[in-house]
Amino acid sequence: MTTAIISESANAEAGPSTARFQPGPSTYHESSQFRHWRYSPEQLAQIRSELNRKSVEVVARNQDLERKAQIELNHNPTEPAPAAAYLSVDDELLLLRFYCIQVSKICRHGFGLPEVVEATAISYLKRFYLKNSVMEWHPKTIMPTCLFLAAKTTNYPVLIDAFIPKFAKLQASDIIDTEFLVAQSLAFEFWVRGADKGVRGWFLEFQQEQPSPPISALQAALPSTLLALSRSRLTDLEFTHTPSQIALGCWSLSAPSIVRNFLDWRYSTLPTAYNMSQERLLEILEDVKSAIESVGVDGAGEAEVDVKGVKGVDKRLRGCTNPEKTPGTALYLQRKQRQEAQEASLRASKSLKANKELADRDMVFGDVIQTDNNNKRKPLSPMITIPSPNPADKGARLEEGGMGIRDEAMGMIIGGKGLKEVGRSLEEEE
Amino acid sequence: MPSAGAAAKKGIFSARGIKPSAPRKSGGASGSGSGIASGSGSGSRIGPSAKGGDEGYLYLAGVKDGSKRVSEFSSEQDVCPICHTDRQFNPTLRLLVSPCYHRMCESCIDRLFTLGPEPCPTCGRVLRKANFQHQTFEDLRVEREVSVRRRMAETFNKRESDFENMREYDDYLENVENWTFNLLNEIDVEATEKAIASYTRSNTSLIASNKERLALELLSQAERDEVDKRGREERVRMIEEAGRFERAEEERVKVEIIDALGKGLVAKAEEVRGRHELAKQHRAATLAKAMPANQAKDEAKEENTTDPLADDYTGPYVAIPYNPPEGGYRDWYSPKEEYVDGRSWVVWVKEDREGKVRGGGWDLKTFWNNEVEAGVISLGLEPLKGL
Repeated sequence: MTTAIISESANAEAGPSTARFQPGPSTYHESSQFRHWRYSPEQLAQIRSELNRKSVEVVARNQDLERKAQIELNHNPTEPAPAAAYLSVDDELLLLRFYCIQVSKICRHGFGLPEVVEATAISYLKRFYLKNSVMEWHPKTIMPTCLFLAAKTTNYPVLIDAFIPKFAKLQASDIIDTEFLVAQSLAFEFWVRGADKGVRGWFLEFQQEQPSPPISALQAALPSTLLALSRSRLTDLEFTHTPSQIALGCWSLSAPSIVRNFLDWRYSTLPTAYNMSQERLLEILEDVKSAIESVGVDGAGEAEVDVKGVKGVDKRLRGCTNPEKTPGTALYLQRKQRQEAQEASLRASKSLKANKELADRDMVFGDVIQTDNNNKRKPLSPMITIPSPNPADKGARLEEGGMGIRDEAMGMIIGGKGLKEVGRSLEEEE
Repeated sequence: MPSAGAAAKKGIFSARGIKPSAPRKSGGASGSGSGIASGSGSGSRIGPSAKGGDEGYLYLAGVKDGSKRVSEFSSEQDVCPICHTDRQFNPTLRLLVSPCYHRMCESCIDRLFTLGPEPCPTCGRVLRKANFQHQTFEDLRVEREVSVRRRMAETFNKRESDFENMREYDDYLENVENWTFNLLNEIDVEATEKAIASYTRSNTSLIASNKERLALELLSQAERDEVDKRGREERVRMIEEAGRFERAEEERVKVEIIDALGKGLVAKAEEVRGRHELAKQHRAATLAKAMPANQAKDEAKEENTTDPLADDYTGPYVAIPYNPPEGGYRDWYSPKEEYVDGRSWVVWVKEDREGKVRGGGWDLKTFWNNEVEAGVISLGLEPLKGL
């Protein structure tokens, strides 16, 4: 139902998917992730504050319109939310983090989908909210859409009939309606390079022929590394750091000695490794580590989020969603009515045009030649004249001459002034 | 020579409503069979190679049209100029055209030329019965012009691609048109013939190759395949024959050598062997030269010379396979043959008792390699800073 409105607002966010492919020094440099989804922390902050400011404006304006529309439709107008009630960037991020955790839970416990689906879905969700605001599109519908889309793009598709029942109060149309919007906001760049592959890669790489590959220590550290990996998904690391840096950061969080020993060995055998000095690499790993550690964990080591805070944000969000995008609001109804009227008129004009074309096609020698003095045409057959209300009019005079027949019953004169009159201009009678 | 003159010379064609075309094209237009015929080697009576070439005339009337779209010309008013028989008298009257472009009926031809060559009753040129052709065009001048142009097109079949620039090609076309005009109007015929002959001599190979190219172009793909197949069969046959001959020769030489050795003539045996080796090499070279070239293939190759990677490529869409960049990241790790990997499916793959996994070409080592690569590939990338 909402598709028509969606396409209007999403056009502006359609990303750089048309950018030409450029060869780079590595496959990662050629990826859309490197070229279009890499930001500095400052850039991220700016994008988000800008987006927040804009969507607050849009929501405020639309709520005004909503009030007017309600009055127009004879509803009781609701008061617009006070300025303090709008969500801040932090509020949005809190809500986003909550839904990211939900993705993990649904993937692991709901569907048993592979980790790549989970990672991709979370990336989609985060990328979507770099282009759209929570206040415009509530994550409760966007999150399932991202997951559904990610399952498809990573080649683990879930049938929509099997997908819907796992969510409370979700309809198939919710997903289908927003799917294209999400794809458009992602600029159709569906392949995300997650850190999970890198984590596994480092597990293998640490077994390299160093003095003593710490196999047992590695295996012991793997579960906590994977936990760190899922914590890392709740941060902005994927926008600021490369997947391999995040992967090694996860390892250095769970098994710092293994990473240190390996890097010592690697730089002693190949000082130019990774095109980066060991000191700088360790600094970056520290950054990654601290970012991961900023995500709170519960007793089981799983990422945690302040549920109470999320509930508060969600409550406030109800007051300040964009009414244009919410079915059931007066503005939505009004917009829809207007749109339907527009579509109907468009359809009507279209069918009119089609009919005209059809008629044109029937007329082999083209359209009727339009002359501005229609009354000058020459009648080629005896005339049928309907008497005019004014008896002095010339129509009534016809019966006097020629072969006109007066039909009393019908009150009209049938026929003209005789065959010799045929072909004569009507004007000559005057 | 100003080009206006050349244009004016095309007068006959223009007046008749027949479109004058460049010499290289008129061959294809008037006699669609001529190119194929010379290519496939079946007998053709058209062109300078047709019989009668030694008779002192160079072209024959009558368009031989395989498609049957061109029919013989005849009319109700036909009258034989020799015996004055008309169509009313003889409904099956058929007038044929002599190489000197004079018409006479079949019975006259029979009567005059049954006993051998005789002079033409009109102009006195010596004619033979076999040289008469049917008439295609009403106007014999047109008939003649078509023949002349056909003959010229046989020789002057250079294409635009044979010239370095447009200017040269235009000059060439003008030259050809001038000679054609001379032949048509019998101006300086001797000098023109000399010029044409000298051109033909100096361009023999190019003319032959262009002729073959034209013949191939006129063929449909199926026919082209057929020509290709025939060439292949011919090659195989030649090779087999050469092999048979070689084996027989080998046998013979062996016997000769054993004979010589039996008589104790070692030097002679050596000489025989040396001679045999030389002859063998010579035969191989001759065979290679005589082998018909694979024409259809060469043609196809030539069409695809444009590089799809080039910027000005305008051909059909070609999917260009992706090649990963040769970045230095490959030096940062060295894949091992075997890793400790506890993932359940890796364990299963390692066993792979039924060969299910490798059946599809999937390889565990490649998979591991990809994972390790994903770990190191962008490790040294400096994070972005600032706005």
